[in-house]
Amino acid sequence: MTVTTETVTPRAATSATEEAKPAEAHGQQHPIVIYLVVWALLFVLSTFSYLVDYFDVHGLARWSLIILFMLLKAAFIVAIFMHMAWERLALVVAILLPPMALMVLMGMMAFEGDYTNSDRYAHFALGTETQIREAPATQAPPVAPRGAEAPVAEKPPASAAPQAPKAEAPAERAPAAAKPVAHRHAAQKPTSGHRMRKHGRSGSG
Amino acid sequence: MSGVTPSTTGALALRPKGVRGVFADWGSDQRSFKSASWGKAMMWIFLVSDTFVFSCFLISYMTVRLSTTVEWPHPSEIFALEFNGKKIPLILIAIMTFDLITSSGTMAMAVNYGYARKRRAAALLMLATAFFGAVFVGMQAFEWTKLIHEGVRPWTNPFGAAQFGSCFFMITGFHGFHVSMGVLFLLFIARNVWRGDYDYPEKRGFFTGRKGRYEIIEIMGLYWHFVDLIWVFIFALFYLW
Repeated sequence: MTVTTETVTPRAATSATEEAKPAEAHGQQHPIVIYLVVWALLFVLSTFSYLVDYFDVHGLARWSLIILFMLLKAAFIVAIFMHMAWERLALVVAILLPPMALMVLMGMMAFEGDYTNSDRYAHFALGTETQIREAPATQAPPVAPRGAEAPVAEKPPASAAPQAPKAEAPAERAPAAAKPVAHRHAAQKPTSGHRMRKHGRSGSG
Repeated sequence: MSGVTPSTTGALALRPKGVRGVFADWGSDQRSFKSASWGKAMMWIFLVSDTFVFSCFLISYMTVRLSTTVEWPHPSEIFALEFNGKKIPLILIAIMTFDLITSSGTMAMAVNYGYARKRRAAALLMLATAFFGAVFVGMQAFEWTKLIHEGVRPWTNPFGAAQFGSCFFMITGFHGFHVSMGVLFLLFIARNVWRGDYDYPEKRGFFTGRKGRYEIIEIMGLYWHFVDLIWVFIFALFYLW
C-alpha cells in the first residue's frame, strides 16, 4: 500500500493538512497556563461533585449531575493532561473507540441486573408481611422497612425513620449477616431467620 | 514529525488531517501512529487494556447493586468522619480526590519542564507527584482499616447488601495498587531525570539503547493521569452514587 498524501509544497499548505513541525519541538510545548487552568477547573468540578452529596440532592438530578461532572473531569484529563487534543485522529480513534464497546456491555448488564432484580421479587417471598411475621421470636426483630407500615416488632421505636435501622446496634445485625445463607450465590433467597430490610432499588435515590 | 511524510520528489508532503488522515495513517505501509512514538503508543494501548479491567469491576459492581434486593449501604454515612462531634460525609474521599488532582497537576508541569530540559524542576515535580500519590495510598489504607474494623468483609458487612465489601475492596484495592506502582515508577524515573540519564545526546534509552529524550516523562505522565482518571470514575460511581 502506498501512502496517500497530497504532494504539495510547504508554502501552499492548505487547511486540510498540518504544518510541518519537528517531533521534539511538538512534544508538549504548550503554554503552562493551559495546564493550570484545567487544574483549577478540575478542583471546581470536584467541589461541585462533592456538593451534590453534601446538599443531599436526590433522584434524577443527583445522577445527571454526578455523571455530568464525572464526564467533564474525564474529558479534561484525557484531552489536556494526556495530550489527546493534540494527537492525530488515528491515535484518538484507536484509543477512545474501544472503550465505547464497554458502553454496550454496560447497557446489557444494566438490563440483566434489572431483570434479575425483578425476578427475585417475583419468585422469592421478600418483604411480605408473612415473611416478616414468621421471623422467630428468638432472633433479633426485623427493622422497619422504609415507607412501609411497621411490622410486628416492638423494637425499633416510634422513629421508623429510614436512618433508624442503621443507627441501631450493628452488633444485632452482625450475627444475622454472618449466617452462611447470606453468602450464597443467590444471596437474596430468604430463610426464616433472615431479616429483610427495605429493598433498595437503585431507583429509589 | 507527525505532519510530514517523505516523498520521492524531495518536496515535503503533508499528512492529511481529520477522518481522511485516519484512513491515510492506518492505510500506510509505515507505523500507524504518526504523532506518537512507540513508547507513547504502547503506553496508550496498555491504558486501554487497563480501562477494560476497571470497567469489568465497575460494571459488575453496577450489576450486583442493581440486582440485589437488600439495600445497598450508604457511602456518605460509611465514609463520614467525625470532627468535633459533627459528622462530615465523604470528607476523606474529597481530600483524596483533591490530593490526586494536585498530583496530576504537578505531573503535567513535570512533563512540561522535562521538554523544556529543566531537569531539576522536572525531577522535583515528579517527586512531588510521588509524594501526593503516597499520601493517597496512605489515606486509602486508613479507610480500609477503618472499614475492616467496623466489620466490612468481602462476604458480608453490617451496613447492607453483602456484596458491598467485595466491590469496595476489589475496586479500591486494584486502584490503590496501580497508584502504588505509579509511585514506585515515578521515583525511579525522577532519579534518572535528576542524574541526567535522559539528556540528549550523550545517554542512551532504558529499553531501547537509542539516544534518550524526555518523552519518558510524558509517558509516565500518561500512566499517572490514567490513575487519576480511574479515581474520577470510582469517586462518582461508587462513593457518590
